[in-house]
Parts: sequence; structure tokens; C-alpha cells
Amino acid sequence: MTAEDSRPDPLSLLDPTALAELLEAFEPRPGQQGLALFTSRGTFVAGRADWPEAAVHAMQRELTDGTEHDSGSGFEALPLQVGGETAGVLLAAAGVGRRVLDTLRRALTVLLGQARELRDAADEQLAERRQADLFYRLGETIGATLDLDQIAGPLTVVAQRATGAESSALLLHPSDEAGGELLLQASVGDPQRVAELVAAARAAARGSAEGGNEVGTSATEPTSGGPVLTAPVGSGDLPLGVLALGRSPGAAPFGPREERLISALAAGVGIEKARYHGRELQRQRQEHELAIGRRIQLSLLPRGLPQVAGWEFHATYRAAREVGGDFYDFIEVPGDSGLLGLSIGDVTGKGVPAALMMATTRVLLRTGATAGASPAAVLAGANRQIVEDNRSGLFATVLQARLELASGRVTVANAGHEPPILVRAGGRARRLPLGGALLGLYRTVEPAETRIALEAGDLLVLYTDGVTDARSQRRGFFGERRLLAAIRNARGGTAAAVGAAILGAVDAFSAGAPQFDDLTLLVVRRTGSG
Amino acid sequence: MDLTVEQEPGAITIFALTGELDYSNFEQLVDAARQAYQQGARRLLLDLAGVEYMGSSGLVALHAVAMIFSGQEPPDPEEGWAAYRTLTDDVEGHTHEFVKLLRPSAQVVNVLERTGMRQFFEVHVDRSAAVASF
Repeated sequence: MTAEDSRPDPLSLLDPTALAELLEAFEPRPGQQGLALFTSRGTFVAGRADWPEAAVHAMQRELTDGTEHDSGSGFEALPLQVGGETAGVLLAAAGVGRRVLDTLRRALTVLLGQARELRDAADEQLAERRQADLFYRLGETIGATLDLDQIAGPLTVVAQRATGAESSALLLHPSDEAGGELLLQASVGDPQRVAELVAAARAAARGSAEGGNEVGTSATEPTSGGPVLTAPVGSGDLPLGVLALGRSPGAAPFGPREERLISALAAGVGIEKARYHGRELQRQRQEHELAIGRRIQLSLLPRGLPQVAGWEFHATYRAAREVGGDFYDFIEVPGDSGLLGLSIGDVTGKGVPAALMMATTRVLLRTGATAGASPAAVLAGANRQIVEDNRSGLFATVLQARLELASGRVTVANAGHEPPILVRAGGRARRLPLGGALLGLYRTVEPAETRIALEAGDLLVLYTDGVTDARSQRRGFFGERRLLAAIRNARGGTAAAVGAAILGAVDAFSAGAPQFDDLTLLVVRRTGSG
Repeated sequence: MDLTVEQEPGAITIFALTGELDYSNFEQLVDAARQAYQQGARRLLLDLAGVEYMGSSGLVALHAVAMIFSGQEPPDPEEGWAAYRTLTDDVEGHTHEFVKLLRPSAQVVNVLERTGMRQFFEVHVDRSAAVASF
């Protein structure tokens, strides 16, 4: 069993209840059950459960060679391919139309593709973080020995093996104090390579003495040596030595991954001797984690805006330096539904746990909304799953909307989020009602739904607290009143113009004060009957 | 954010917070609560008169503090996907008996109301009445 096999099936990341509703929506006649979803291993997931054994066995046989079966057997098995792997199987009874099947299959493939991306992105980031953590702890364990001289040998071996370098060397200052020429304590590799490492390490130490105490790849003389990577052991105030790695001439240079690992290892070793610098390293690890969280979050934001006759959309997302957690999404409901789903939300907390929670929440909302479920049902379903899995103690506020594109009717449900603002073409404005509890707190939620009808020129503005909590030097907050005024003043313009006007007002108000929180702004404008 | 700890007779601990409670310091509040509980504190009053602004991370902190004083260790965000401990039904749906709020600002009350967390916490405007209510 390979490592790949033990990762969760993308299908298992999706809510089975939402999948069941999705299948139900595609059944040719209400109540009829001709569709079912199975995992790539043939486990039942959702839909009709009572197939004749022959159908299930034949499907499982076909899973191994991935071909479609079509004949008078009364059923058809359609594998769902995502990125070259079979992520699931759609089983359909005779009588379900071809177009319906193709549409459903496309919808499922999109969902599974997203779930798989989420799984892979999360895995990769977590694996990287865990590896860096491992090296740090390894360094700490080794460095816990009182005498650096004693651990020099094992340390060079670990460094060389773990990074796949050809040679390694540890050099230390003669005593625990700074200054004095670095002396070679231990090394791995052929003497000529090691001599190059010694020269590079001494140069790096001289460079650090002048300022700068970083991991560095030094360029080597063309006549000698290959790539060299050095990392300081100890810290700026208490330099203890240098750890160096080398590769043979002509080999590829060391990359950021090796830099991170060797830095973590060297840092761990130095920690026992430089305990008061521990706080600085902690801060670096935290920043690293925040950066990972940020990358996960940004990779999951929508790439464009919906293009729909009779409607205009605008979206602005501004990330704060450290904080993550805002998200938004436009969700097409497939199959000529004439419906468009819209989510906006904010996850509490920061860093990788918050980014993962945001990604999960987004997938859950999308699964429910894609099935065309009402916003209240979407939120209730997402909440159920979040509470079941919520080991992290984080929450999310979400505003979920569903637009009926032809009629202009909009249904809205709110879980603890800032209520949207409605401004009519004629200027009348109101804030929609407050919602119920945010997601992740109660085992069940039953949000109320608000229904409004948008006419030509009407605006609906959705936002996160990054807008209303924007602050100025004089320590006030931007607030709902200023937001309302900005929208009113800009009405009559396109959605993009309204968005720009709101942001202009926020920027003018905050006049250069730092942005503390993510800011997200969605503007929906009805321009006419579609 | 500054956090000062006082003891009232009757074994009531008071945390007076000043400044802002947000993502950058909410863990500080949770750590302080955990420490107090480990040292035997069982009743906690949070004096929020000096808190000008509470971000959504403040909600995480308040919830975690309430769980600690209900005798349950709150979930650890560091665990992420990995299972740690289940939330029990005891805490949910009831106003907390052992953690109460004193003089929260309008902004803080708004956030609690909007997110549905307001009902978990008894809010007092007078310190001696708050202390006597435990």
C-alpha cells in the first residue's frame, strides 16, 4: 500500500447528505431513485442503495479497468476521473437521460476536483511544516547534550544524510564566546570537499560578524568546488559556529527546502546554549506558519466574476499582513437552474488551522449550494459537518445567498455575519436582519431566511468586518453609517464603480493607518431583467 | 493588551483587561485563564470596561475560557485536522455559571449578539453586583 492509498478519497471530503440532495435534484422524476454514488473502491456513498447484486459486482469489476459498461443490463457505471485518477463512480439506472447524466457527471467532477485540490494543498503544506518541525526537534535533542564537541560527529552525519548533501562539516569557535577562528570539529566526505566547506564556513562567519546572520548559499570559485550551503549555529548575540553542506562541482545548487531544513537543524542545536533567543525562533516559526496559512487561503479564492445578463458583480479582497480567514465564493447551480449561489464569510483565528477551517467551510458551502439547496439548508448542513469535525475550537461567520437570475429574487440566510446592505435605485436603503449563531458553535442551527426582490438599479452589498472595523488615526471605526453613505452616493454607477467608491471612502477614512484584518467586499447590482 | 488579576473574597478571580482583544493576543487571555484554573480558581469575572475593541478571535478566547472554567480543556487549534477531544453538550446552550462579563463596551456586545454568543454570558454593569451573583 503506497502513501497515496492512505490519503482520504476526495469523495469522503464532501458531505454525503449534500451529495444525496444533489443526486435527488437530478432524478428524472421526484422520488424516483435511479442514481447512486460510490467511492473508487466500490463503497456506497449516496443515492439509491438497493441495486441488484449483479449491478454492484459488475460495477466493481469495471472499476478495475475503468471502462463504461452500457447494455441491456439496465444500468450504467460512469467513472468520475479527476487528475488521472478515478475519484468515484456514478451508477445510473436505465431511464436517466444522457444529458442529465453528463451534466451531473461534470458537476461531480468539478466538486471532486476541488476537494482533491484542497486535500493535496493541505497535505503538502502540513508535510512541509511537519518536516521543518521534525528537524527543529532533532536539533534540540542533539543540542541538549552539554558538549557541542561531543555531538559534532553525529550532527554532521545527520545533516549530510537528511539533505542528501555529499559532504558536511561543523566548525566551532574555540570557546563558547564569539571571536577566534572557527575550528573544524567533525566532517563527512572527501577531504578536498571538506576543505572547501571550511573555507566557506569561515567566510560566512566573517560575513555574519559584519552584520547579517543568515543561512547562505555561497558562490564558489569556478576552479574548485560545487554548491555550498552554510547555516549559523547559535545566534547573532552568541555565535557558536557554522554548519556547512556541500555538493560536488556541477551539481544543482541547494534550494529553499534544504535551507529551511538546515536552518531548523542548526537552530535547534543552538537553542540549549542560547535559550533566551528562543522567543525569536518561535516568532519565526509562527510567521512561517502564518505565511503557509495565507498561501492556502489565497489559492482557494475565486478567479473571476460571474458574467450573467441582467446582473453586475464586483469583488474586492484585501489581505491583511498577518490575519487570514475571509473568504467568498460564487457558486453556479448546474443544469439550467437559473440560480447563482453566493457566500461570504470570516473564520476566527489565524495561521494554518484557520486557513484549513476556511477551506473546509468553503467546500461544504459549495457542495450544498451547487445542489441548489436553499441558503438556510446550506448553512445548516455545513454547520453539522463543522461541529462534528471541529477539533480546533474555531468558528466561522457566513452569509449565504441564492440569486434567481431571471426574476431578481434573492434569498439570504445569515450565520453570525455582518448583514448585507440593500440600496434601492431610488435611494432607500436598509440593512437586512441580523442572523443566528455563527457556524461551529451549536450542534444544529436553523437560520431564518430573508427574501428580497431586486429591480433594475438596486444594489446589494456584502462585506466582512474588515470594512466596518477599518480604523483611522483618530481611533474611530469606519462603521455601518459611513458604508451606507458611500453606497448611496455611488448608486447609479456600475457594480465596479460602487465597489471602488466604497473602498475609496474606507481608504480616505483610514488615511494610511495599518490594515488589521482581511477586508472583503462584494457588490451585486441588478441591471434589468435577464 | 494588559491583563491584571485580582482576587475578591469568596474565591472570585477578576481579570481586568485593557486595550484590544484580537488575533494578536487572544491566546494570552486563554493562557491566563488556564493558569488561574490550575491554581484553583473556579469563578472568573472578566472586567471588559477597558476593552475598546474585540475581534472575532476574542470569541474564540471567551469560548475557550468558559470551557476551561467548566472543567473542560478547550480544543487546541494546533491540532488542526487531528482529533483531540470532543465538545460535550454540557457547555452548549447554557449560560455559563463560572465565567461572567463586566461592563463590555457596545462594540463587544454587538459582536456577541451578532454571532449568537451573547446568551452564553451573564453581563453585569456593576462590579459588586457581579461578584455577588456568583
